[in-house]
Amino acid sequence: MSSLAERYNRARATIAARGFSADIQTKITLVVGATTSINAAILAPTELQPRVSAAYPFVHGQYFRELEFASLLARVTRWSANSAIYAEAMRLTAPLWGAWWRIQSPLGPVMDVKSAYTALALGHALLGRVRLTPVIPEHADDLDPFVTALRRIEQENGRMIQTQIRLLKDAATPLDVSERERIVEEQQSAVDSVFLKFLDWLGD
Amino acid sequence: MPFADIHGHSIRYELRGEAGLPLVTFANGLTQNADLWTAYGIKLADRGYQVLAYDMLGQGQSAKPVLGIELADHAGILAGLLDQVQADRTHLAGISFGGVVALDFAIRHGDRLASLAVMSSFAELTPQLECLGQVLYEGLTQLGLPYLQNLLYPMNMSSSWLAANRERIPEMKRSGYIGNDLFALQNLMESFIKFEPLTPRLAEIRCPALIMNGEYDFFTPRECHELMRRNLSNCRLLLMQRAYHAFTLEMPDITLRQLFEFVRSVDDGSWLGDGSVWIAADKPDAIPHAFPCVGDHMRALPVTAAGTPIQVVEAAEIQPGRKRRLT
Repeated sequence: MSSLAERYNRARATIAARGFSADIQTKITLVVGATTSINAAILAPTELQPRVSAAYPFVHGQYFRELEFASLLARVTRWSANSAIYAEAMRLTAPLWGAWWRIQSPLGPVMDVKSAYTALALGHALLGRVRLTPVIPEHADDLDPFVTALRRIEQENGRMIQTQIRLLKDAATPLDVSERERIVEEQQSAVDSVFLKFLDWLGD
Repeated sequence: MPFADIHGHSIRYELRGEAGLPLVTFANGLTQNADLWTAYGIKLADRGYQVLAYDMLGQGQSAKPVLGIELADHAGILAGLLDQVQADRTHLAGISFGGVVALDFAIRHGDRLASLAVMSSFAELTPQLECLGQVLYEGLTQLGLPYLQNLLYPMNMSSSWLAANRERIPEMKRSGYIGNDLFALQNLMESFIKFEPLTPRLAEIRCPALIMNGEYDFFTPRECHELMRRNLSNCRLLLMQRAYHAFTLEMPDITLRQLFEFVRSVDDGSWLGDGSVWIAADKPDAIPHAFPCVGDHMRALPVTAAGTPIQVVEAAEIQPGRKRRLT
């Protein structure tokens, strides 16, 4: 089994050889766009809640930032005409949408403490584990809008994840530590599994 | 490298050398991993030691708990790892954050230590170190992991090393970025929020201890190491010439020689932990490997025995090929 570093290196080598082609840009945007959209979908219900908590300004900012990134990627991408890429991206990201969907039932994060914690853990994993700047080749054009967008999204993710970190670690919850750890690990594994396959796909 | 399940955490480690030989264990610093001790492991194994290196909890390929790590967890993990490799006792060397872990381990599990080498480290957060830590923390959380890496390279390494490795540094940074997670490093840093100074408990450490400090280490400067020297009962302070914070990376041969001479002196019974201050020879094969420090080791300026700063004449007054100093 390849290590994470080997997978990154293969993906970077492929991009270095082919450049940020329409196929590669499309692959990246479909997967990263899915992660930003899922996190936005997780955060969206807080916009409708009547109560405004201390965390709300940060959640609100993150929600709109994720929408910005999803639309930014869509705008700067040179889209591929290869329909197989779209189908594969849907297949790859389906488990993440599935994870989001499971959080919605039966009561959803607004009504259920465990679902709320799981939603935060999924957001944390998406922001923390989906990291693409190591696939950018050494001599990539720093003024390329696609490259600029990737770098900007990743840097901003490092700031935005602070909200999930503080809430996961410090927010009052009736869940005991072992249950919280189990939830966090489960969501992280789900995201890691998708992301590793995604890196392999990029390296093909 | 194999993985061990220690207290529910997956820990990546490497054990090198023949079973039954004296064990030397290495604890890495922040943003580092076990791979950085590979050369040490190979050479110490050739010299009759078994060597254990591991990715500390929260780093490299070991588990990275999201909900936080207590500083004491690291000592427990190391004790568990020693159990895993069936080692009752070990020589333990740790750098920077790993040095703090090594000190904490020595306090909690002193009976398992043959000796302790603490490199570029600290037993408490001096005001300067606390402020620096705050800057590093803010850099990580507000500007990200690449910013922290960019900050640490010039803090840890000399200009000559940076110049010599200019081409390799982007790849090294990328490798470090892949191997570390922002949230995990943040957890390690946050473990210092509740950090109780170890200085009052250093007297509990009875095993031989070598404290190693780079001449130009401005990250954990001399005062941090002096606190350890004054409070450890069986120690010596060794100053590494022209070294910055990460001398284990920058001058591995010299560092290895010093560590080897230390553990050998402990094992053959010739170690003398008299609190004295020594200067490491600046060549790995020099004889002797270290010599006593005369003068005030707390000063950065060269000071004579009488305490008078050495006066250096103007450069223009020095004839080519001749150096002159007035005392």
